[in-house]
Amino acid sequence: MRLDLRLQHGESEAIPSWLRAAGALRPGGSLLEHVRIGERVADETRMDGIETRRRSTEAVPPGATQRPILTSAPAGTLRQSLRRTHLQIATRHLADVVVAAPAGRIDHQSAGDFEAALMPLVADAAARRGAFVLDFSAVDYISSVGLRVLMVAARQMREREAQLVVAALGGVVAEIFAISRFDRVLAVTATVDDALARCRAAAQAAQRGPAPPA
Amino acid sequence: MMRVRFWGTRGSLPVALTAAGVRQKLLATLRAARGRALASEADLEAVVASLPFATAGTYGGHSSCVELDTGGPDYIVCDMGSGLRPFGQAATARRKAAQTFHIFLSHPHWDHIMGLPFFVPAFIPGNRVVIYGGHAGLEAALRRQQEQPSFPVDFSIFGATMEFVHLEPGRAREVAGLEVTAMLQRHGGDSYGYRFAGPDGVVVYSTDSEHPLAQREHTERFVRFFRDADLVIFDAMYSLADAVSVKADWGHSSNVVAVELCQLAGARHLCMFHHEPVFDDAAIDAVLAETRRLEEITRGAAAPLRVSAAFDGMEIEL
Repeated sequence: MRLDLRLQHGESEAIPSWLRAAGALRPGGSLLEHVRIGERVADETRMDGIETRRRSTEAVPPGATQRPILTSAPAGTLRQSLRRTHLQIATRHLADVVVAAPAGRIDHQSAGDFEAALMPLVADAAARRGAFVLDFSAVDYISSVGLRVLMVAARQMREREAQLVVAALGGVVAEIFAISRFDRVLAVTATVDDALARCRAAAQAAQRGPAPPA
Repeated sequence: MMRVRFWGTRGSLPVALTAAGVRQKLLATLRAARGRALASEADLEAVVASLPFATAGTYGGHSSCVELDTGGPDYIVCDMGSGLRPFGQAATARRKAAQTFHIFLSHPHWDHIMGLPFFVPAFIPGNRVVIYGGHAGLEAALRRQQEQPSFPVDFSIFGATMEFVHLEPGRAREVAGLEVTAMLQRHGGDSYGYRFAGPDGVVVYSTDSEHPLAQREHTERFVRFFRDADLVIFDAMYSLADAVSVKADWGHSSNVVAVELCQLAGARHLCMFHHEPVFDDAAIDAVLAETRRLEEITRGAAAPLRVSAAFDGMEIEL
């Protein structure tokens, strides 16, 4: 199933860096994949040479196709976040690497949905012993509950000797990672390109196998 | 006006400042004084005032003990860690007449009861010590602590009247002019937090409490417990990363969860408590600075949440 979203002029600013780099989204262009948090995998397809997944069993809300999918929820306090917040994930596959780009706030309200959407992707990547990159460039905020989801995902990847890298943290989120010490327990890179390079290096090292004894 | 005094703020095990630690503070002080006027007492005070708390002071090392001074005749105390010893000495010095102590116990782990055998008021006939808690068998736990061969002075030696009151979580009870409500917390063998509501405000004492992040109903329960509190004394022993990984199920929490719960609850003042015993003063200072920054960047449009790190001897007025 293809979900075709049209971007309005100026909305490309909200697009994660990897999508901009890939040229997958541009004003007037189509979105290759749309993952709406909390919905289950319905089918899988391939479009324009890039493997994509449609993750929806729910009807798309009226008008959704006319809105950018990567908009962030308005900034606000945690108290405000008790209200329903809007968080979405877009994903793409690059060889053995899954790149997922959540956008918005991962707070107490949305973290459960974030986990429900993320973990099947992580399980799939772990089963294939592929790598998983989380492009956080469009994440405005992450709470302790969201960080716990990342810890669970990283553990699941490690158990299968697969790698999870979190890339492109924005200012506030980077500070939250530092204060929570998650920057010490998760692999974090400055950019998605750095994350991909790290994954490639890890894959090459694994392919070479252990170094012969000196 | 209610005054909250911290007599013991360290988690798990009492610690003491070492000679090496004192030397570091002295050197840091002398470096800060280099090139400054030192002729008068005011000059010296100015240098000391310019130093960070980790240099000019110390967080101390007694284990958990907090006094809530309502101005009334009775004492209200949370936990009986090693900080209970200096509290008892101060209380004895303050009033010579018979005294009543209402002590709310979070749980009977050693670091929260070890002060009782050294609590001078308990040895004075005419005094009354009332110990409140949610655990069954609190009295047996305290008596066992003072049995041979663990301790040479038996519990039966106490001259004060020793009473025990079992509290039901969620059921408010009036004690010495405060409405006290207990909350069951997640900790090995359970622990209980206490919400004290009085005419001067609300104080929540919530230590040795782990918060399972995936359980939304748990979070909502604690948000209600902390709701609009003037002061939340919170177990912020670990970093969040440690609390959800290598130290998961160890029964403690983090500064990040402390800020989030207080923000969700609309609390006014977070006081981090039960400090990690391996942390020196500089490490706790750093955690405090980071936690204040976290509060700042996540506050949004809400009113600022004041953030403190408890130290032995600290006083907070409500």
